[in-house]
Amino acid sequence: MTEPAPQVANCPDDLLPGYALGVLDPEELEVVEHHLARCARCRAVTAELRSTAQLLAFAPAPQPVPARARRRLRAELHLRQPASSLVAWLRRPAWLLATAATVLAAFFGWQLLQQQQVAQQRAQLASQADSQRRAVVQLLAQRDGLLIRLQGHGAARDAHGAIILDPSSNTALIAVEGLPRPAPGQAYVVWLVRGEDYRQAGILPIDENGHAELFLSPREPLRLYDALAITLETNAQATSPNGQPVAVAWLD
Amino acid sequence: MHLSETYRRIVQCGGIVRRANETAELEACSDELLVRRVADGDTRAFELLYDRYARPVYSLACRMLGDPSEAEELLQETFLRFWQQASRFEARRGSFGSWLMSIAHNLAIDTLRARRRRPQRADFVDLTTLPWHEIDQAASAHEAAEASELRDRVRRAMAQLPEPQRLAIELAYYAGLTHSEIAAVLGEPIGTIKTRLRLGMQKLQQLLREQPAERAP
Repeated sequence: MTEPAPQVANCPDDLLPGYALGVLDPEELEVVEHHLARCARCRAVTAELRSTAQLLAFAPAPQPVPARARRRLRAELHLRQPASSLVAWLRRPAWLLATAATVLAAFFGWQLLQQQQVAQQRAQLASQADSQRRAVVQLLAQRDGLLIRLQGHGAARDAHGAIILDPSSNTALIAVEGLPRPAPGQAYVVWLVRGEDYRQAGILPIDENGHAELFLSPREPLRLYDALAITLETNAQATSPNGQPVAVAWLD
Repeated sequence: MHLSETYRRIVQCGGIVRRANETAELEACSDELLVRRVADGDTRAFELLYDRYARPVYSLACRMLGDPSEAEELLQETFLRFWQQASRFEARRGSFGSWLMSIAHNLAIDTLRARRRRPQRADFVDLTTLPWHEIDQAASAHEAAEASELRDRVRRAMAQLPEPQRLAIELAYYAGLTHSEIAAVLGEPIGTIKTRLRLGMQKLQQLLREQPAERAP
C-alpha cells in the first residue's frame, strides 16, 4: 500500500469533474493543473473521475457501421504502409504468388535436368531437388507464402535465384544458382539493408556448381528491412559492405 | 547443408500447419494480444479489432457529431491513429477499448471545436432519413462483449441520474462544451453547472460501482 495521499488546502472540487471531462475554460484549467501538481489526493480523485468519464464513450445507442468504411480503411492502410513492408506483399493477389511459385518450380526443374545428365550421385540429388520443389510449392501454396526473385549483376550477372520469406516466423531462405566461385580468401556476404544501415546476415556458402543457399532467422522483424544485398567481400567478417555488389533484392 | 534439410527447417519454423488455423486462433485472442500483433504490422489482427470496436466508435461519433459522413471520417481516422500508434498502448493503464474510445472522443472534440470556429450548419442530420447503405455485418456480429456490456451499464446508470445532472454531463462529454458554454446554453449560473457536474459524476461513479458487471442471463 502507498502512503495516504498528501492533501493541500483549497482543493478545487467543483472543477475536478470538468477537468476529467476535458471541458474547463482556460483559466480554470490553469488553476486545476497548478493544484494537481501539488495535491496527491486530488490527483487520485481526478483519476477516478476520468475512468468514469471514459466509460461515457460506450453509452451512445449502437449505429450500424457502413461497409464502405472498412473498404476505405483498407485502401488507406495500403497506401500508408511503407513500400518495403512485407505485409503489403502478403496482400498481393494469389495469382502473383502462383506465378512466383511457377518461376521457382521452373528454376528447380531446370536444376533437376542439369543433374540428370551426370552420374548416379546426381540422381540422388535430383530426388532431393524434387522433394525440395514440392516443399517450395507447399510453402507458396499457403496464403502467407512470399517469394522475391533475385538477379545477379556485375561479375555475377548470370546468377539468379529467389528469396522465400515467411514473415510469420521471421525466416527467409536465399537460394541462388550460377554464382561464380569466389577467389581464395573471398566470400559472398549477405546483408540486410535498412536505409543507410547494413546488417550482416551471414556468409553465402557456395558449392562447386555455383549453387548457394542460406537460411536466415534475424532477431529483428524482416519487414523492417528495405532490401537484401549480396556482396563479394575479401573480409568475411566485415561489419559493413566494402566489396563488389553481386545482387540486390528489394523486400517490397 | 542439404537443401531438403533447409526447406524442412523453414517449413517447420514457418508454422505451416499452425497457420492453417491461425485465423481461428486470432479470433480467440484477447484485445491486448491482437494489439501487439497490430504493432508488428499484422493487418488481420487489425481487422479483428475493427470488427470488435468499429460499432462503438462509429456510434460515439454519430452521437457527438450528428453527421454520418463526419462520423465515418472519424471512424477511419480513429483506426488509422490506432494503426500508427499501436505500440504506444499500455495494457496496465487500462483496457484497449477505453484507449481506443479516448482517441475517438478526442478527435470528435477537435472536430466539434473546429466546427464552432466555422460557420454553423443550420440543419440537423436525422440518421433515419439518410439513404440506406450497405451495412458492415461483421462490425455488428463481432462487436466486443466489453463494449456492448458497458453500453448497457452506462446507459442504465445515466438514466438514473437526475435530468439536470445528466444533461450537464452530456453537454460536457458529448458536445465538448465548457462550463461557461453549458451555462450559456442552459441559462444557468456557472456555479450551478459546476455543482451539477460534480454531483452527477459522483452519482454516476456510485451507480456504476453498484451495478453488476454483466446482466443476468
